[in-house]
Amino acid sequence: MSLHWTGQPFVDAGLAALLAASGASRLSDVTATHLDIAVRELERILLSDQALGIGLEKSFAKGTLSQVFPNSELVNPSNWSKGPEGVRAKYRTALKEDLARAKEALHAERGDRLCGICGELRPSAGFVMLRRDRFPLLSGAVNFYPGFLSGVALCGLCALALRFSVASLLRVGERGRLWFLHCPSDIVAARIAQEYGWGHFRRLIAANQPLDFYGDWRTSGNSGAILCLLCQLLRKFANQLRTIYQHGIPTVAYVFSNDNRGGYVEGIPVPTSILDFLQSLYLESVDAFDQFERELLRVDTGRDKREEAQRARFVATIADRIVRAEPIVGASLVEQRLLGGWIAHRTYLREVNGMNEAVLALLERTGIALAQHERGKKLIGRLERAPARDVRAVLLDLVREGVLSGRELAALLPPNEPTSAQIVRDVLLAVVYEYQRCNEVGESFPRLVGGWAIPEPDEVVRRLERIAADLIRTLPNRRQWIADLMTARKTAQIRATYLRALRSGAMSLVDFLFLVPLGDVTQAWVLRDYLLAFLFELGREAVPTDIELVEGEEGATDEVSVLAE
Amino acid sequence: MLDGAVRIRLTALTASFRAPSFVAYQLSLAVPPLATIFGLLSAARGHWVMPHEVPWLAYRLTYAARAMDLEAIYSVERKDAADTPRFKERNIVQREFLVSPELDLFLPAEWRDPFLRPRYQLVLGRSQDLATVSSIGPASLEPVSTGPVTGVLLPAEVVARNGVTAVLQNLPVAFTPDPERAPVRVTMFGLIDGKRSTRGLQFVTIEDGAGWLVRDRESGVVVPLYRQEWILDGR
Ligand SMILES: [Zn+2]
Repeated sequence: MSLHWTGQPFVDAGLAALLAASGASRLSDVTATHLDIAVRELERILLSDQALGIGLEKSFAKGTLSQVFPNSELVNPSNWSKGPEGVRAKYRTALKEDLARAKEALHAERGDRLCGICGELRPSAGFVMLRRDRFPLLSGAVNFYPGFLSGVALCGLCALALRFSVASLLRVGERGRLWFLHCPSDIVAARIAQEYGWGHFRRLIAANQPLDFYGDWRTSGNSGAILCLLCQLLRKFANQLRTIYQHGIPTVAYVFSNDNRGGYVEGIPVPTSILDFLQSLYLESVDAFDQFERELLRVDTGRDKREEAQRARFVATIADRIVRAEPIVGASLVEQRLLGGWIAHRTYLREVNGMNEAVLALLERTGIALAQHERGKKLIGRLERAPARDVRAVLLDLVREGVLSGRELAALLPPNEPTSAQIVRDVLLAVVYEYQRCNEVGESFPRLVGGWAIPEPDEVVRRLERIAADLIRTLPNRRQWIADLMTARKTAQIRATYLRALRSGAMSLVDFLFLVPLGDVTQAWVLRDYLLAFLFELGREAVPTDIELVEGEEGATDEVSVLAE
Repeated sequence: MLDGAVRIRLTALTASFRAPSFVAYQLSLAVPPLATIFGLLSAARGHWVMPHEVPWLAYRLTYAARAMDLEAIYSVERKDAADTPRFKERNIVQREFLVSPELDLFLPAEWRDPFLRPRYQLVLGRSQDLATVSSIGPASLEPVSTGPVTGVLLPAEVVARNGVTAVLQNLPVAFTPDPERAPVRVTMFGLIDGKRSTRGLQFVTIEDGAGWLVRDRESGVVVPLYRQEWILDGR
């Protein structure tokens, strides 16, 4: 019966490393001969002087490795009593037994006992009872072994695979934690083991340095290490990995420590949208990809301590947000600069945050218009300090000046999605800063190419457009009426202004009730702003240019609390 | 179309479904394995229920948050199944749990009565994760080829077809009764997380349900339906 992924993270990590060392290209192709080859390599690496620490200051076997497999054959003092050769002999014997059981399981058609790990029926004679010295994270809680038994029973193949997991483990770089990517894909998982496990071990042995897990990420936090690994993989194996990144194989990073004094394990699922994003960015521009990694994920040493700690916190925060697929553009605005590059952020907004391409193009256009605006400095300053509700007011000003249409405003800030104000603000500032930077250094701003139609407006927006058109057509003394609506400070004043239109027959009762719904103050202010937008657009000659638009306090409360979440 | 089915909603303050991969340090699965559901059915009916007694079942579980507990444990072990368990040592371990879980169970109509008057206490995990039946209502399930899902276990091949974000785990579908408690079958699932956010439920859209999905006409809920033959034999 052939080998396959099991869903048990440590066993799968072992299978990946076994596959990488065996020379087979797929797990299902692994034969007994492949098992022999892989076992020989495991033995060569783990019994090397550099692993056992012979003639070196540090022993991998007794140090870091014993954190994964406490008190294993390579640590047990009674094995060491006969010196390194005693340890080697002991390990070889144990490995030989495991190999024999694994081969038996591989050959057997169908056994009589179900392995709880791989789910296959295997010959019961080949099962072994593993405890913490052979199975990571079994320390400490004996009574969680199934049925009060003193260990977990595994089939010969799963037990052998666990031994190989060492070549899939990586170091986070902080607090001695280890991690690995659980990604049941023949290509990705085996590549990681090949490059960062076996390859890394072989390089250390060749340089006669003590073995250790690979952990040179130059980043901060668990998420930082995960993302840097994904970036490095794409760079090194772009062609082989392309299909995997495109198809989004379920990937979970398991971070753990097996310390006796305080074990720890955390599973961090990597959203498939993050893989899509990295892949798209890499394809669009390798330079943009490099810039993204350098400016948002890397922590360089050699700065002063305080600066380095600050940078580490920044990177850890951004990386955590990315791994949770949360927006990052706001957090990347530092001292009126956008870190990470606009191309990367634009790709992230599209692939991860699901932003429509047309809306992105519109935001680019609006941001550039802001940067070029004669009152740009004032408007940008307002945006920088803006609570969310002011974002709408700034954009409304742009509608008044003909930079944006009413429908475009509604596409950027849909009336029913108050939470979009924050991200729109962040994206506009990102474009502004990037545009300014490009101007300073004489680069051209990397605009989206192509024409996009903004999404069709919804019912509410279309209705507001129609009400505005009616008002423009039939309202007596439009200029004064619009000015009154712009300067209303209380909801009651808005209502009074609408009542005047109702009395003169320019507004119907149904529309009046729609615009100031009973008991919903916030909505009245939101709808007023979009109504104004269409009034500005449709009745441009009646729009007062010298009046400041007032945002009433009453309309603000709800929106701000939504954003504070 | 399965008419005359029931939808049973169980709620609790906490739930914990130990990820079988991690024995000592407990991470909770976001969705209980089928074996846990058979445990619930057994508690309700008052005897050990095996898959051949249930023609089909479907469910989803959503929760408000994850949290971590510290627990002092007194380890008990025995050499083999015939041995007497003995106290071994005291230890402190982390235990992850889900907050405010809501389990929607879809079952054939005959399961209405056992859940109206369950024979034993219902729990969503361990003995402290007490659960209550908060509603029982009619359900009628129609097959759909696509749909939004959350808080469900999808067979690994459905996850692969759709390239969705999931956590892969090999999970038991049921256990034989004590004292052996051997898994009936273990198979790989992708767990689709059902954490409720402030914006409500977050769904993953399955474009190619490959014959697995049903939609409850009453509630609009879309879930994978596990047939008895599949549970028993994977066919
Ligand atoms: Zn197995």
